[in-house]
Formats: sequence, structure tokens, C-alpha cells
Amino acid sequence: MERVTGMWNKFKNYWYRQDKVAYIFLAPSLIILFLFAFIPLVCSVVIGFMNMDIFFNNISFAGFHNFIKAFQDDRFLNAVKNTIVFALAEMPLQIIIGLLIANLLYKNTFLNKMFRSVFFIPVVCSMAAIGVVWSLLLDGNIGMVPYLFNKVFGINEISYFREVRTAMPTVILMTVWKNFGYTMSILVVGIQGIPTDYFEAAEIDGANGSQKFFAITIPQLLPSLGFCIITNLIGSLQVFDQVYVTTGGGPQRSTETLVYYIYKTGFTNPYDLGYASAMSVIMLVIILALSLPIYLRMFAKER
Amino acid sequence: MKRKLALVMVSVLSVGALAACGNTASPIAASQDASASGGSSAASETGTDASASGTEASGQSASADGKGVTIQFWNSFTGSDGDILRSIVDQYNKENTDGITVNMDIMPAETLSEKLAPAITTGTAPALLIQGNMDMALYAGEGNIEPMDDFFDATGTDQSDFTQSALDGLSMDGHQYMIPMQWFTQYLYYNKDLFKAAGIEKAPDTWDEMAEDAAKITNPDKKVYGAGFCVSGGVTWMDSMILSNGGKILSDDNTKSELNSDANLKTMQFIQKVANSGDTPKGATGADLDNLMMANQLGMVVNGPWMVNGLKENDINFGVAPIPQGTSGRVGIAEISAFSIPKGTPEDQKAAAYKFIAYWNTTATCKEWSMQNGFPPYLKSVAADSEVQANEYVKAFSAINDYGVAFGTGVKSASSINADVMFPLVENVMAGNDPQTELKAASDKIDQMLAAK
Repeated sequence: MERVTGMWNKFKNYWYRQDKVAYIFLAPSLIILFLFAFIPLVCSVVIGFMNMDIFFNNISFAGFHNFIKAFQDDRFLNAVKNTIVFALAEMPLQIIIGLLIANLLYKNTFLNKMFRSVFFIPVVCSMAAIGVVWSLLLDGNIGMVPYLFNKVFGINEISYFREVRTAMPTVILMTVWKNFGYTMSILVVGIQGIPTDYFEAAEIDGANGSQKFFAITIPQLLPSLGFCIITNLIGSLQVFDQVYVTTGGGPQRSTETLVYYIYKTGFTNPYDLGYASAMSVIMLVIILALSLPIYLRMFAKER
Repeated sequence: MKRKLALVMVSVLSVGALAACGNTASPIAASQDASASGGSSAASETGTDASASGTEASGQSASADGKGVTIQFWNSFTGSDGDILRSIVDQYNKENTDGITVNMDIMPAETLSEKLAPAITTGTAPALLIQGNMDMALYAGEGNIEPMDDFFDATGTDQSDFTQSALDGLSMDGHQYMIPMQWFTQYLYYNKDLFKAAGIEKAPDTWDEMAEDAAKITNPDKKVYGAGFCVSGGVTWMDSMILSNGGKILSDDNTKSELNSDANLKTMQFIQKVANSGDTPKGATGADLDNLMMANQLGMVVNGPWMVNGLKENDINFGVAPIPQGTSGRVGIAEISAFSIPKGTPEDQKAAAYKFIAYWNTTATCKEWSMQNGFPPYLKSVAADSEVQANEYVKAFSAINDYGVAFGTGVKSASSINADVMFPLVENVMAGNDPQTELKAASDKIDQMLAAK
């Protein structure tokens, strides 16, 4: 009994010390990160240096062969290009649309709340389901959108996911449509957190709406914006589901992204885990190179 | 305030991290969804139960005759033929006197190949599979499926009843790695109503005639296309076309590419001409073309026997003809769907699988399959049956004996060559790229694939 109370006291000591209790709260996330992010990361770096397929037969050391192969592989370079195009178009679009709408809807009126909920609905739907829905809506033969465009505007019926010039923009717009609600809701919280004194003072000085937006809202929102930019950028560099469901990387590999190609290499014939891992390590480097500067800058500001 | 914001961010970040985990896992999750949406979710659920009880049963009996054993059976018969297959499996489960239960899990072909490889590595593969003959070299070459040399002796199945080429297409290095389940080649389906409307009397006999007929049938106002050529997810019509025009894809000993030739350049130019004519939907997948056929919007398409049931269900007035011939004859790539047994399958489960394969390869079962699906028989006893001979579709599909040719037997990358080189090749050519440049690039790519161990 004494032992139990002893332990209880120890726990209480721990619990009431902020610097220590933090570890308890962090533990679940850290364990998950360790198991599902850190271990696989280390494994893929190791496997990247191996000749190894998914059947684990005839494993041998490959040195830098897989990495060199990547930079000589047109399909890999094409995938890198597509991924960067996707990220650089999708992320700003999402931020801008999310920001504008957040600025319109940040007051907690009934209508605003309703619109915010409606815009958030696609975020909670699965990308697979949304991809299927849009594939059907945009299908060149049976789709409703091309049909209506033809009837109303007289535009020739286009098969959006099946033509090189439209496929990537369509995938990008679909992703923005699905995800901007997420950005919007974070920015709404950010705007609501800006002290109203700033706006009142500006109004007294005769500032108009756009002046308030650019001189108060945006500077005050920088931490939230930075967060949105980083998470969106990383997320869009890992684009996979929408491509898998809608275009399958086509037409003519114009929407084949890095993760999609890595997946195809590792988990379908030729089942080349070594090469797939090497490519994912390169992808990690690309993501770090693009997001680290923004990340550092954001933290410099915070301090 | 800042702290509050930081708290929100941290919580969002952790949600984001979880979501990211979800993303990386999504392919497999998606594939499970896909198999579930195929109507087999209940089946797979009971499948897990059954597999447990199966191991239990095998533990009890531990006999090598397969009695009382439950086995898992994966295949990708997602079409209406899957319903017929299911009824045959159900019938077997009811009627067999050995207490064997075959638990079938039907999933899309892509899903099957994605799930199978890791399943074999982790020792969780099913005891019985249906794979294509083009997958054999990849799986058998690394010992990932069991040789089945003892199948005929063990089950008393009459080997001489099999058409020899069907068995040959499934053997490698002197071992029988797979046992036939069905075979087929490519045929020309045509829409009789659209033919009549365009004033065409009969199905085209050559690729040139097919292009001419397509031009007559195409009607942009009604969104009707003359002919469909898929750029992915369908039968390898371009392989057939290339070979029928006297061109080659691989050398005779399958060690290097012979794609970059004058004959093939002409074939590619022909394909480009047809694509430019607007008589064929651009960038269509096999599934797109299926939909167009079922909607009376496509005049002609090259496809396999499984299309018959769909066309019948949709009341399409259609005909089946041999695949058009090229300048040097008629060629259709022949494929065999076959039973295989993954490595590491316990002896008793293997014995049970053997028994089901033997049941399939009886005259009665194969006859039922041919009568219901129109598949051409590979068992001589079924081919000799008068009822089977009288079946309109079996008659048309039996053209496999006249022009069916196997592709890439013994080549590990056979199916990759089609999926990652040949289909992209025709996709690029149909999109207007220079045929000569594309042929050269494709040829180099094939050489690379053949050189990789």
C-alpha cells in the first residue's frame, strides 16, 4: 500500500512539473512517429543502397548504383518535374483561395459558420471517393460537366483527365477544391486571434478594407500562413491518391508524380524495392531542400 | 495568444502527421476498398475466419491428402465471368467428398499483383491463384511459385487430354509451373447496328479495311466512333498488329528487342494515321472502350472472350470476327489463365488445391465454363463435344487454334514490356509523336529490361 502511494506521489510530482509532464503528452505521437516514420526512413535509406526486390531473394550491395540510375532515368526526371509543377501550382492556389475566403468568413455569424462547414466537407471525404466522383463528372463520354459546357457555352467536349494539356491542371484544381477548406479553417482561427484594437485603430485613421487586409491581417497571420505553406508544400510534394484514382499517371505520363512512380516501381512489376527506396530518399532530399528554408525563416520570425 | 495558436498548430500538426501516415498506407487501404466494393467484403471477412479454422483443421488432420482443409483462392475475375466461377466453386465446396473448402477472393488484377508479392514474402499468400502465363517467368524464375510436375500423377488427371501448346506455354526450364484454367486470344467485336447504319455488309478482314470501315461509321454528332484502340488497361492489340505485319517485338530467343524495324515503323504510321483521322477516341483505356461498346457508341474493338456477357447484358447487337490480318497474315496474342501455387504453401493445402484444379480440369467443368462463357476449350475431350462445337461463341473463339501466338514465354519482364513500353509507345504515337523516335526509344527500353537480370 505504501508502495502504491509512493508511486502515486512520484506520478503527481511528475504531473505537476510542466517540463516533465510534456513528455507524457508527447509520448504517443513520438512512438507513432518512431514506428511509422523514423524506422521506415532508416530502412529505405539502407535498402536504397541494395539490389533488392520485394521477394527478398538475391540481395546484394549496390553502392550508389540506384541513385545514379535515377538521374539517368527519363521517367524519374519527368516525375520530379510533374511533382514540382503540381506543388508550385497547387500550394499557392490553395493558400490564396483559403486566405480570401477566410477573410470573408471569419466573423462567427450563422451564415458564415454554415459556409465554413460546407467548404470543409470535401476535406473530410476520402480522396479516392472524390477522385472517382470527378472522374465520372468529367468523363469525355458520359460526364456531366463536358456535356453542360457543350450545351451552354458550345465548347467542344473535352476529356479532362485524358488529354495532356488538361490532365495536370484538372488534377491540381480538383486537389485545391478538396483541400482549401482545411487551409481556410486554420486561417479563420488565425484571423480571429488578431486583437480587434488594431482594426479599430486603423478604422479611426481612415484605413479602407484592402489597407487593413494587407497592413494588419497578413502580417499578423504570418505564423499561421507559414504553417499552412509548409504543410501544404510537403503534402503536395507527396501527391499520390488523386493521380492513382483519376489518371493513373497518364496521359503520356504527364501526371505521373514521384510517389506514384516510386509506388509503381516498388509494388508492381518489376518490384524493385532498391530503386524505389533510392528514389524516395532523393524525394526526401527534394522536400527538405524546398521546405527547410521556409521552416527556418518562420522560426526565426517566431523568436 | 501565441501559446494558444501554438497549441492549435501542434494539434493540427499531429493530426497532419497521422493523416500523412494514412496517406502512405492508402494504396493498400484503397485496394482493400476496391476488393470490398467488388462485393466480396463479406467473403473476405469469412475468409479470415476460415483461414484460421483451416490452419486448425490442418493441424488436426495433418494429412497430405488435403481432406478437411480450407484453402484461400485469389483471382481477378471481376466481370460477369466471376459469377460463373463463383457458382462453380460453390458447387465444388458442396459436392466434394474430401471436406475441402475453397474460399475465393476476387480482386482487380492490379490489386492482386500488388498484394501477392508482399504476401509471398511474408508467408501469407493464399494456397491457390489464377495468374497469367506472362507472369510465370517472374514468379517461377525466383522460386515464388511451386513447380507442379507431380500434378498429373498425384491427381490422376489425364495429361494427354490437354492441348500440348497450353501446357508448353506454362512450363519453363523443364518444369510445369502452372496448370491451365482457360485460354484465349484477341478477336474483333463489331456493332451490327452501327455497321448497318453505315452500309457495311460484313466485318473487316484486314487492318486497312478496319480503318476504312471506321471512317464510315464515325459520326461526331452522335458521338459515335468507328474503332477503338486502348492505350492502357486492355488486350495487347498492338503486339498482334505488329506481328501480323511481319514485324517483331523480341528476337526469336527472347534476348533482345527487334522493335526498331521498317515493318514496325509502317505499323506505327498506320496507327498514327487512324488516330489522326478522328475515328478513334483519343487516349482511351480498355475500360473506356468497354463503356463505349456497351453504349452503342463504338463500331469496332479488339478484345477477349469475356466481353460477350457484358454486351449481351446491355442488349448490344454485336458480332465476333477473327482479329483483322496484316500484310503477312493473321496473328493474335494468345494468353493462358492458369492455376498456380505460391511457394511455402503447406503440403495439405497444396493437396487440396490440386484436388480443386483437377476438378476444374474435368470434361464436365470445362464444358460448363465454355458453354456459359464461350471460352475456347483446351481440353481435347471438351473440344470434341458436339454441344460445345455447336455453340456460336465457342466456335468464334476457337480461332485461337488458327492464329493464337504466345508472347514472351520465359521472359521475366513480359508483362512489364507490354504495360511500360508497348502501351506507352502506341499512346505516344497516337498523340502525334514521331513514330521513328518513339520506336527507337521503346526498343532501347526493352533491351534495358531484358538485360536487367
